[in-house]
Amino acid sequence: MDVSAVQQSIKKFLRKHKQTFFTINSNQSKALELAVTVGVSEHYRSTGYTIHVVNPKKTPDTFVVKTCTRGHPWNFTHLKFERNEIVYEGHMNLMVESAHDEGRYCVDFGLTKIGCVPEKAVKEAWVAAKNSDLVTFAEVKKLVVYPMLLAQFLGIVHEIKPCFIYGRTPKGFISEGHLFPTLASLGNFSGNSAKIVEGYKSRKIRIMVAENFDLRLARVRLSRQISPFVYEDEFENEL
Amino acid sequence: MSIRALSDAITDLPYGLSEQVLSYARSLDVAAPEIFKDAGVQFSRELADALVFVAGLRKLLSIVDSNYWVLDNTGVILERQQDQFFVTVGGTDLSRGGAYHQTLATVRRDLVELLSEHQLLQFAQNLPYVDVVRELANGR
Repeated sequence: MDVSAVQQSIKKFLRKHKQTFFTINSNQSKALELAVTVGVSEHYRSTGYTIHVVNPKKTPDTFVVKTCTRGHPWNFTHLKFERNEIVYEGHMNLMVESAHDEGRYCVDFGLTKIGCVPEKAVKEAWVAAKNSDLVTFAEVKKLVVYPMLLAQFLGIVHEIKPCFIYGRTPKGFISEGHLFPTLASLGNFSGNSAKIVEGYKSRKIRIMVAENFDLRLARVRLSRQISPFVYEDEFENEL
Repeated sequence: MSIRALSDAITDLPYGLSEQVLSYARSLDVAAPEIFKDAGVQFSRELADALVFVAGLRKLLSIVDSNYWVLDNTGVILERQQDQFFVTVGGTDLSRGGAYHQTLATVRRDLVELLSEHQLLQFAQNLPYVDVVRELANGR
């Protein structure tokens, strides 16, 4: 390999497309929010679910991505996951109640029981989904997976779905093929974070850390993997 | 040396993307001795530098590829479920076939062509790193 020749070609290429890469940089977070939604839906598809896209009534032909806490849920697209007459809903940037107190949190993607988030405008302000209606959730970060990011995510799981840190996995969770609470990240493991994640198994902490999420998506695209979250065997004792 | 070569090659990338490429390449640098061991190839700094450079190219391709693929796949999912598909995020059109999607397709095509010209596409796309090391050791 002629590193110098490749280097020159890459420089020329990046100069030519400089503006596009700045646009990619600014759109990457938005695309990531979309990516985690698509990634989760591809995972559920791989486990036999059929995915239905439900667009807002105002814009029935447009998939409207929710990328912040503001806005009524009925003004954004949500997904329905259906398998053997069981239906769940997937919502982007979903407000959800704490498992412990009156706190409310916004998860990047939340899978809920059906009907717990209004599909059309309601008279009383809708604030958050009940904690008991949330089945699982996913967070996405444009960061490397460093130890404090893992600690932060564990804190989120502790506040929202503590049963995955201590206690029992909810009944039917495994047989229905659900994802454990998931942290998807664009970066690789840094420092000793891989060791920390390895340790979760023996500590019975049931979360999924999908590092290099873009590479995982690329593998799905290349049909080398059917789900960006391949984890089932790691928790086979849970079955 | 090759982190520097990589860093020099990508100076025109915005900082956030550049850090993603370099961070991934650095992680491969750390893992290189283990990869060489698995490949059954004696470790050499020169080969490790080449491997790290390849890792940077793989990350760059994955950034372009994944951004393109996210939009493309979303469009396909919508196409499967519904007759029409327009994706908007906060006023930005991220639809399959929209201007941004097409621009990404062009950049992706150019990058794939560039890597093919240098016979690096397989290295950057899907060849396991142990095989990359073996190929590099065999003079590729």
